[in-house]
Amino acid sequence: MSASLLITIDGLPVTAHAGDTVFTAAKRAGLTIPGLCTSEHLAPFGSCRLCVCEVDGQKGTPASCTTPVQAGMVVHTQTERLVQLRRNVTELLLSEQPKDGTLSAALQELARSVGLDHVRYRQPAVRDKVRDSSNPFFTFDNAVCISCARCVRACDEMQGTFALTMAGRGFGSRPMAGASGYGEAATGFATSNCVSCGACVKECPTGALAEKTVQQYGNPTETVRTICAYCGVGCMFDAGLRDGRVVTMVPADDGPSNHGHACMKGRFGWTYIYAEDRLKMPMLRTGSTWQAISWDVALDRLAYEFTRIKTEFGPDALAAISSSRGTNEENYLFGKFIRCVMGTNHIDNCARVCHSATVTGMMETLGASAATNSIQDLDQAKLIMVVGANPTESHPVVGASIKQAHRRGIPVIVIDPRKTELARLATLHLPLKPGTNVALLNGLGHVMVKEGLLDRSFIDARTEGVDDWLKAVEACTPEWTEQITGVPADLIRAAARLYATSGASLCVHGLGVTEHRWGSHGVMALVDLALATGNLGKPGTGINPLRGQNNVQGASDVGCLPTFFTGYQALNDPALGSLHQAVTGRPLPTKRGMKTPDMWDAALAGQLKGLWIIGYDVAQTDPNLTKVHEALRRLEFLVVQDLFMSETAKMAHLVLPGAAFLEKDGTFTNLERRIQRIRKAVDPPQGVLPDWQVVCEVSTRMGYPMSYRHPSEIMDEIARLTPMFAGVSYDRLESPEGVQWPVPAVGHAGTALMHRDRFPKGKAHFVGVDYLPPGESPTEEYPFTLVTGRILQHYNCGAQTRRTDILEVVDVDALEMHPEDAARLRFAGGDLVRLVSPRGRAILPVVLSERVQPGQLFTSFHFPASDVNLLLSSSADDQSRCPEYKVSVVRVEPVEREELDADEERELEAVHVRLIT
Amino acid sequence: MSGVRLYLSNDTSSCAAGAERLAEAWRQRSDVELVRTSSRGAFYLEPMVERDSPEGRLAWCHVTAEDLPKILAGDGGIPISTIPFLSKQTRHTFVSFGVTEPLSLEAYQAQGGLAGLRNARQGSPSAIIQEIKTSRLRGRGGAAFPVWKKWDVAATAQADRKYVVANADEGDAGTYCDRMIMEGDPFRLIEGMLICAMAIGAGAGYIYCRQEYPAATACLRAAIRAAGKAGWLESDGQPFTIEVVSGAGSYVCGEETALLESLEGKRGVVRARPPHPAQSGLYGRPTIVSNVLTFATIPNILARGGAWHASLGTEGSCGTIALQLGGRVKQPGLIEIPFGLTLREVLDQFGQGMADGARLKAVQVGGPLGSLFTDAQLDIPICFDAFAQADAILGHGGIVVFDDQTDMLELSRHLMAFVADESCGKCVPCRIGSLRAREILDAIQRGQATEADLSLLTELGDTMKATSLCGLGGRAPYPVLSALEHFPVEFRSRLRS
Amino acid sequence: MLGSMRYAVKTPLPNGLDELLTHARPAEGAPPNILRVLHAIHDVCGYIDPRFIPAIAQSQGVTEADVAGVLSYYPSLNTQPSGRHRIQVCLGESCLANRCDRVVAAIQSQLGIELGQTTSDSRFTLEPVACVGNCAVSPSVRIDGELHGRVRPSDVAGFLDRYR
Ligand SMILES: Nc1nc2c(c(=O)[nH]1)N[C@H]1C(S)=C(S)[C@@H](COP(=O)(O)OP(=O)(O)OC[C@H]3O[C@@H](n4cnc5c(=O)[nH]c(N)nc54)[C@H](O)[C@@H]3O)O[C@H]1N2
Ligand SMILES: Nc1nc2c(c(=O)[nH]1)N[C@H]1C(S)=C(S)[C@@H](COP(=O)(O)OP(=O)(O)OC[C@H]3O[C@@H](n4cnc5c(=O)[nH]c(N)nc54)[C@H](O)[C@@H]3O)O[C@H]1N2
Ligand SMILES: Cc1cc2nc3c(=O)[nH]c(=O)nc-3n(C[C@H](O)[C@H](O)[C@H](O)COP(=O)(O)O)c2cc1C
Ligand code: SF4
Ligand code: SF4
Ligand code: SF4
Ligand code: SF4
Ligand code: SF4
Ligand code: FES
Ligand code: FES
Ligand SMILES: [Mo]
Repeated sequence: MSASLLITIDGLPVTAHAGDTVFTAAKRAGLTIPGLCTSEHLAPFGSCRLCVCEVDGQKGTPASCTTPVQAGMVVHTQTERLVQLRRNVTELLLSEQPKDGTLSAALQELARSVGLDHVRYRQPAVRDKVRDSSNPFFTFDNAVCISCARCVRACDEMQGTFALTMAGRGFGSRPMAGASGYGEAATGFATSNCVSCGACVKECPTGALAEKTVQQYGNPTETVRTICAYCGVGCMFDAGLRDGRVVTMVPADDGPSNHGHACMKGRFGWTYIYAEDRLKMPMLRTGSTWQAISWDVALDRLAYEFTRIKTEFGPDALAAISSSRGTNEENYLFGKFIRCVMGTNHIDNCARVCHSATVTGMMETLGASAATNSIQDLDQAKLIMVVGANPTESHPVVGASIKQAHRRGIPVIVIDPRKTELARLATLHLPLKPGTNVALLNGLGHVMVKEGLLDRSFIDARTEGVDDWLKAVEACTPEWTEQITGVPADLIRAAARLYATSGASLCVHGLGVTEHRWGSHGVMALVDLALATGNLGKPGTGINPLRGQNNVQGASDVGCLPTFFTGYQALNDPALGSLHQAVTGRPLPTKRGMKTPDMWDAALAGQLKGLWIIGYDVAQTDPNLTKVHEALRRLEFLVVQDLFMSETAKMAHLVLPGAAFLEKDGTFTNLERRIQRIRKAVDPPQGVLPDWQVVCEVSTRMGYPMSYRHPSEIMDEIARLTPMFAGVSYDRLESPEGVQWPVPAVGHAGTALMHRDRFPKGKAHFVGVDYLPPGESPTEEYPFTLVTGRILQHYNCGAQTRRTDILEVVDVDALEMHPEDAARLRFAGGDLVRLVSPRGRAILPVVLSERVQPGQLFTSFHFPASDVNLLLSSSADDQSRCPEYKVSVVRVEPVEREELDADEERELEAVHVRLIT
Repeated sequence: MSGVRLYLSNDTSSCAAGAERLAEAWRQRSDVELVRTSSRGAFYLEPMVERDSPEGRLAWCHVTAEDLPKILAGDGGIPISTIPFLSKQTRHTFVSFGVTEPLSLEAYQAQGGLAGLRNARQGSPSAIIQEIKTSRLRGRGGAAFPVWKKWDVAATAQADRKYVVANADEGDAGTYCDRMIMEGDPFRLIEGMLICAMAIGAGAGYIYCRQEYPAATACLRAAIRAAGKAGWLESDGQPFTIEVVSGAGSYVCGEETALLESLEGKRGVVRARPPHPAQSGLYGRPTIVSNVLTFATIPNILARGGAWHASLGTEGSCGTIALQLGGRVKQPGLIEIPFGLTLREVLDQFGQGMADGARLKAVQVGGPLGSLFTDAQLDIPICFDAFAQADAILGHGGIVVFDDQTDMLELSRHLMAFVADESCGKCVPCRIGSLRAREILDAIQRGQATEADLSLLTELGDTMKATSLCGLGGRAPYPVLSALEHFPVEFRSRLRS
Repeated sequence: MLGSMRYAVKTPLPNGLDELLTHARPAEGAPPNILRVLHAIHDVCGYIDPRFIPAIAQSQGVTEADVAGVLSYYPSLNTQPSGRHRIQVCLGESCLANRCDRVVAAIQSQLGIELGQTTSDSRFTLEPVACVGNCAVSPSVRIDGELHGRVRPSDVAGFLDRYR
């Protein structure tokens, strides 16, 4: 806490903090000083000069937004002289605005507040006419801009993309996207590197930058506070409503994980809720014909089929896959249904294919499987290490924070085969071969050991088993490591020194660690490094998996796992068993259930007959799709509950529509374990029930009545059953901070920083792991290593983002190929190629990209048409069964346009690709 | 190869006045040994050729190539010491001008160069700063801020790196003494920067030189190379690097924070202060930005003591000031004198009145943002405080004399148009205000303005003064409003009735 | 079809500026400097073709907006080629006091162009400049590198003849 000091503003005593400006101090005290160029998110700038003040003992009229407070200072902000100056400055601002009465609300209000009724300048030159509507989501109109540069500064200081600049100087200076002033000024946003995060739009005080939805539907008249339902950052938003319709999503300034920032998807990619092809009625498939049916019929049918299968084949013939996109309450309830009604633990969620290796690896070493620190800690870290994650695309708000830390001079190490945006900026980029994390991390450990960089007192006091690790890294000299990973030995040494000696090294990791043949080992090797250097349990340190979906953390937390009950409680814990019995009236099945891949095997073996999937498009996003499709086809009854007719839904017998996040209440748990409230802003399409109510209905129909009036009652039940949620309740969640688990008791403050004094197991365990090669390596027949992952603009199966204007930015999965490879194979950007793996083939357009190394390829998996996951194998991490999405061997063949069918042709008609570099 | 040794200035203005043509004409002659020196600053006499004599140097003025026989014969030269324009001056900073070859390390040392640096090296950083404090030196770039205070802030700031930046933007029309130093005595600037670097603990220096000064840039680069070879460039035993960086034609880049932005290769837009550069300047590190002349004044102070410097000039303005006389005056040129003489005295004693046939109308002191003085106001003493009291600025010491053919409305419009053109565009009062002021002046010229427009202009001027972020917008109204005050008829007579 | 594709690949450069830009890359850990590169290109080409902006941005590790912002800020950075000879007339106050307006008028009438223009034969470009530090010998006219002081309107014809 910064020291507070007392100043006087307009005769009132005001308590200010050191570091405050007169403006911020006044604002906190509830006093309003006019000002258009200042913002709590931006450094003091001082350009509009509306906030002038007088300070006793100082001459002149400085801007209050750039004047730091000093103890005892006496400030005036409303003297006659100041008001006159403000009026004159306002008059200048108005003098360059269009004369047709389209003055922005902010300027109208300003003119009113300073008592300006007309502009005295006669025939003043006005602003240049420049309009840029090339961004799919917002427009720029220079005529009503005031050149305050807030947009430019937002792009720099919040987003870190630097897509904007002020152009020219003097009277004509104006904001400009990219270099468009030298070409087509009207297409600046489209041709610049803008990532449509919307920060500039939010900062714009005049509406010169304005959302297209607002232009179309008008300004919102009320707002509802909720949480973004895309990625695990969990940005807080105010949904702006008008006439019962969402018209804006504006990031909340008091959002604990986003502080007023957001990314393209959360900010503009929500319009899918109004997509024409939203599922509105339950659909029943007979053969290849679909029939819309009533909810009653649908629910009865579902209850009937599941009861039938259970009776005929026993509980183990049924399974469920829950949605990491749904709320905690929905997930808990689905788990409850499977355990209490089906009587099995065959439930899994998308975490399986995502961070299950993190769960395994962190459980084994630390005894808890979630981010050890908070996003806020990025501000305290003295070094940030990014391992196998691409946050500027996958977790853009976290990515932006890392970029800002980097701008402040915090060193950044990136371990990634690709030159991602952060890798380009990084102090050190270690471009390892895909699948060699363990070797590299052990190599770093080796250097730390050899150079005496370990934190011996931490190791002694807080850990066990260090010898196991020491033995594992002993042989991993930098030279050996270089041979395996391709990373130069000196780079390895430099990185080891930086990480071990910074004083506070914070690590974030992603799927580049987990989605491998030896993903759990990678996580353990990573945790070992943190343990060895004492980078755990302190602010600005830690091991922080960047959990993927909005509620993938929560789905696992509330028990949608075949191996754990809520709060990662052991299924065979007798005490838990009796509590469960007492609370739910049913026994807790103790036998471990099937993980998702096991379900496919079981279906293929004819043992699994019925499957209920909520919000997970396995038929597009699971690996080795040929096998998954076959397994799905073998099921006797497949129920899919989704917002859209997804690839999986197309194979279902019964499809149930779901309600989207803006249409329901509940909670999500973000990647820093923060439980946050989502709130219903609008009604779902007529008749559509939220997922949890569907579960209740079916359960009731199957003889186990569930009746909750509100999701809060479900949360209360979770709290009763789960020690780490004991103190969670909806009352607690009303404050914008939400609460970070563990919350072991009512009134507990929550846990921003884990493992401060002890680990759940007491001491943490080193687990030494040896490098083992990935599932497959390039051969003459399949000479390329294909890495799959994400791009900024689209989201996972794409069901949602593909139904928004994001399509104008990117409308295809593109294959990134290094220009050298492309030249050798005579491919040019835009050429169509066929990827062939031992499993299947896929057709993609090529983009030349230096993000990938020669010999490597990268593509995303967001478009069903590209069939990317047909290429992948079923190879997975032994312990967690996390699939090896990151390494597949392929070859690349040319495709002639004539080979394409009409559908493919249409898909490829307008190829829009935008790489984030 | 030993002809008669002739001294001929290599200064840009000397060359423009004809020195270069003389050099071209005489270069091949075996009976002449041409030594290219700095300029004495008596530009009204240039091109001027000197040669040694028992009474010191003799000078031939307004020389043409055909005058060579006369010079070689020793006919008609006048002793430098008898030229009042020079003999009445008190040269400390410009003491070597006209005497030495700018790039001669030996000549620099022979004239007392490096004595200050040696003294500085003997003492601690705080002793250096104490000496500057005692000297009461104030910055010569315009703001006249006490130099020691900035140095003290930068010296006590904790940082991994610190910088010394010489402001060689010399943007004010009518000023040229920085250019003369850079072309004529570059080691003095370098020595001043080195002393500063020692005092604050800086490892790198930059000289931000306006692009309009190609000769100065070249000369500085050569001087830095020579000084480096001679082993002069170190601060506290650490190497001290100096780099010359070119501006790109922006006047406001002379403002210290805009200069720093430009040095970083960005748009030369003014930063809000605080933090001041001494706390957070180049790349966010503590940085001393000082004017070239300020740095060039430092070596003498360290060599002769702060008390010596404090003894020169007036109470509030110690030391000497370099005035640069230009416009319609008879004897334009560089004048170094202690503070305190009146403006009239300077114009009379050094300028020797107006150019032939001209009558004084107004004098502008301190560049395009400086106020205008009429004949009646010339008795103002030349010192910071008196000028501040008169709502005027000394600026960088440029004095431009206008004669009675000057159209004050047109001059006002010209100056305001200059500001509108040069505005960085960041703050509203200057970005829009300077254009609006120009538009009003345009309208007056077109005969379309009314009394109301005139009072609007006055009010706008007041608003610009009070609310502009930097001195460009903040000072812009002064010349215009002073013209309006002193020559109201020239404005009013053109109003629409 | 691939109209809006952006490649994360180096933009190829005309005029062999490749080497210049490679050279201008900031050293490891050093900050970029856009103005410095622009100067370097300007020195070589006499102007900066805006089509180079992507390559310049890449060499400095900055964005196109950053480069365009700087390029558009500085008056002395031309984005179009100027005439073979650059005539800069000083409009500073000392020159103004010494009637540079008459000199300017003389040049304008000789060349038939206004300030800021280039003659149709691309021989001369006429530019204003605000003081070249030659105020004591004003009015000043700089033609290419060469500075002339105390210029009278009657001198103009003679000067211009010297630049073919
Ligand atoms: N825009 C967008 N955001 C998303 C999603 C989306 O689809 N789109 N999905 C969300 C979900 S579900 C998840 S799980 C997260 C995932 O977020 P991330 O973890 O960032 O996911 P990826 O992009 O798949 O992979 C991250 C990086 O791993 C690198 N990598 C590949 N192999 C290796 C290796 O062997 N070693 C190392 N060190 N790195 C390797 C890849 O080059 C890639 O840059 O993103 C979430 N956010
Ligand atoms: N090649 C390759 N494949 C991958 C990966 C990879 O890196 N490479 N990553 C994998 C990873 S980490 C993940 S997490 C998966 C993600 O893959 P999926 O989980 O399949 O994809 P999502 O797009 O997150 O969401 C699935 C569905 O949930 C629906 N949905 C959204 N909200 C709701 C709701 O509130 N209710 C209901 N009922 N439905 C809803 C959406 O419409 C969508 O159809 O993909 C995996 N697949
Ligand atoms: C518009 C404007 C232009 C300026 N131009 C110059 C300049 O060309 N040279 C200079 O030394 N100072 C200039 N200054 C003053 C600098 O901002 C700064 O005060 C000075 O460089 C500090 O050096 P000093 O302490 O040695 O005076 C200018 C200030 C303003 C507001
Ligand atoms: S939307 Fe975001 S990235 Fe695009 S210009 Fe605005 S702030 Fe920059
Ligand atoms: S677009 Fe908006 S934020 Fe940007 S300069 Fe104009 S008014 Fe300011
Ligand atoms: S960063 Fe993640 S949570 Fe935030 S707006 Fe983007 S997708 Fe939504
Ligand atoms: S105002 Fe007068 S008394 Fe004060 S310092 Fe100047 S000359 Fe001396
Ligand atoms: S006064 Fe003019 S030059 Fe100074 S900051 Fe404001 S706009 Fe820029
Ligand atoms: S709000 Fe302070 S200057 Fe704009
Ligand atoms: S005013 Fe023209 S050279 Fe200085
Ligand atoms: Mo995921």
